[in-house]
Amino acid sequence: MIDIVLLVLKIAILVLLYLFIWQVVRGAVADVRGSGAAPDVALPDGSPPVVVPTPEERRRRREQRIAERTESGQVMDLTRHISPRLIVEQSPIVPAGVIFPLEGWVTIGRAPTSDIVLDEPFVSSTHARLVPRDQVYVVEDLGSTNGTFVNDRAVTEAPLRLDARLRIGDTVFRYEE
Amino acid sequence: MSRRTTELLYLVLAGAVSTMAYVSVYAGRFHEIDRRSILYGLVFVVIFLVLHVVVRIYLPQADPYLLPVTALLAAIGLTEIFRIKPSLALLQGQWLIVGALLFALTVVIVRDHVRLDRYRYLIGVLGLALLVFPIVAGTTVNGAKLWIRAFGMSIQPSEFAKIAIVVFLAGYLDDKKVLLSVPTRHVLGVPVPAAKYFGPLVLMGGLALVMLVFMKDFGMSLLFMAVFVALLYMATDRIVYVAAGGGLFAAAAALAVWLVPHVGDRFSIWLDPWAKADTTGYQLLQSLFTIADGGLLGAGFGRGFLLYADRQPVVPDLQTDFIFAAIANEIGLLGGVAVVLCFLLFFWRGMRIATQAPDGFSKLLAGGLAAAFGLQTFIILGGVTRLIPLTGLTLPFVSYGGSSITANLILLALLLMVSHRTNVVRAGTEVERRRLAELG
Repeated sequence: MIDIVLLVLKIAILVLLYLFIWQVVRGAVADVRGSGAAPDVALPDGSPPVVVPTPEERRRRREQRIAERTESGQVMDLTRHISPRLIVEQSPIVPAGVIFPLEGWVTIGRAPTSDIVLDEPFVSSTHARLVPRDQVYVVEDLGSTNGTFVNDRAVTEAPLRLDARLRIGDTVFRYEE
Repeated sequence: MSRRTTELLYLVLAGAVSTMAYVSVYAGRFHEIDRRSILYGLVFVVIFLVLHVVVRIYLPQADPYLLPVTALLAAIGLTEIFRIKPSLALLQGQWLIVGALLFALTVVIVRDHVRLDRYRYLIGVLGLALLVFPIVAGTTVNGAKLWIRAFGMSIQPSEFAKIAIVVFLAGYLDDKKVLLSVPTRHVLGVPVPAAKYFGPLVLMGGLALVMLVFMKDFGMSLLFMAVFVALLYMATDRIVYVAAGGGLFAAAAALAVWLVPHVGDRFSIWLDPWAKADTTGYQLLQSLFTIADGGLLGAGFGRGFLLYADRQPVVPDLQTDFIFAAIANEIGLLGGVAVVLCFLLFFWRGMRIATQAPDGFSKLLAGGLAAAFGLQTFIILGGVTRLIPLTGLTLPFVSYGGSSITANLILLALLLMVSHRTNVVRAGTEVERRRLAELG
């Protein structure tokens, strides 16, 4: 009796083993072929989250900023444009002309968790950050290996004035407001 | 069907196989089928269901096939260990629970593997320390000095060091890959990148040699060197590194075969096990006999000829390095091939996760982990079947060994994290994306 049970078990285990493998391969291959799953095309390495805001979006952000600053009691100079942004002038990886709107603290680095990701060899994982201070964006170098440059001068901390050139690694940004 | 539901279905299938295998071993041993044997299957299934729930909560978009394949391999391993030495199976079961806990902790604490890149050098140093520690405080087992004894347990730190070093190398190579692939000088007509970027890499290569010389651990040393070369190749796409790394290791190995008796023995046994059939060649020959004895279908779990009358296993170290021989004996060629296919599935999913990953660090991490897993499997299976010289490594998830199963469950956790990030970045919902971004 026990022998027959064991024989049946033996065959059943082998059949189930191969059923398992077949099912996994079938499911996984269907995954590769698409069927609503993720596309099989590789994204370029470290492609930055390029955000080119629409005019409406920009206006909405500006209004939101004004509201925030008014709430916190800061004086708002309404004669100034206040949509601070970095525009890529030249870069080995980001197309020139790409606009990064700045809001709050912005980190720049090679780490995928940075707000602006620059996957270049001369950029540190967490390279620099931009901090709004008294209505001016200040760039702070976060101990990067190859330095942060404003108008071609190495800085550890410097305010960004209109049309300032910010260079990190081989990427040059122009600051606009 | 969502990814997690798919995973659950496959887990149930794996659970069914494991329960049947255990019932079979139990019946073969005690000639009866009782409730206790089915209870075991349930305990095993519950462990993996808990892991499934952890993944469902924290990594909902992760690959659905890796966890069931792992469960199946672990089930076969645990069953076979119970078959060979029931007292060890209880220990291994406890280690599986520890491993499951570490898996859950890794997932809950790390959440997103990208955060590990920040502690790159710390993790690298930790990996080095784990590797070197046994040289200072280790005990020698089977001629190799790679174990440390603490709290009444033997721990093999190199299994954990493997993961730490892949994390470090993935981060480091992702950072320096451009510099390493652009040659600045030519030495003997071969383009060579700038020396300063080579420093840590030379250190890694030297480390493999140190392991070879001081720990006399040919298997781990081969694994580290191979993983290292694989990662270099993945990062730079330059075959020169593969040739240089392979040549360097071949030279070192030749030297070791010549100078270190323990390694030289392994090599001569590989060429001709019959010459020393009653001494050093005995283990390998017994392994080959055991595999052959299984035939096409084997005698079934619990019924193969694995133990002598005095309950000593027919192959020394049957439950660790030679567990594949036991499996191939009991479920035959077909079963053995099925197990190899399961390993191949795991490796394939790992490499696929790597090719799909959205950033360099994730790609290299997944690729490196999959390579480490695949190479380790190849080195030990090749050794047991006399395809390559025998070097002592555990068969991931299957062999008896607490360090092995816990370390490989952590490896699985990291692979699932990369997969989750990939799928969220590519096609995740807004909520999932935001949640991932907030982790930063």
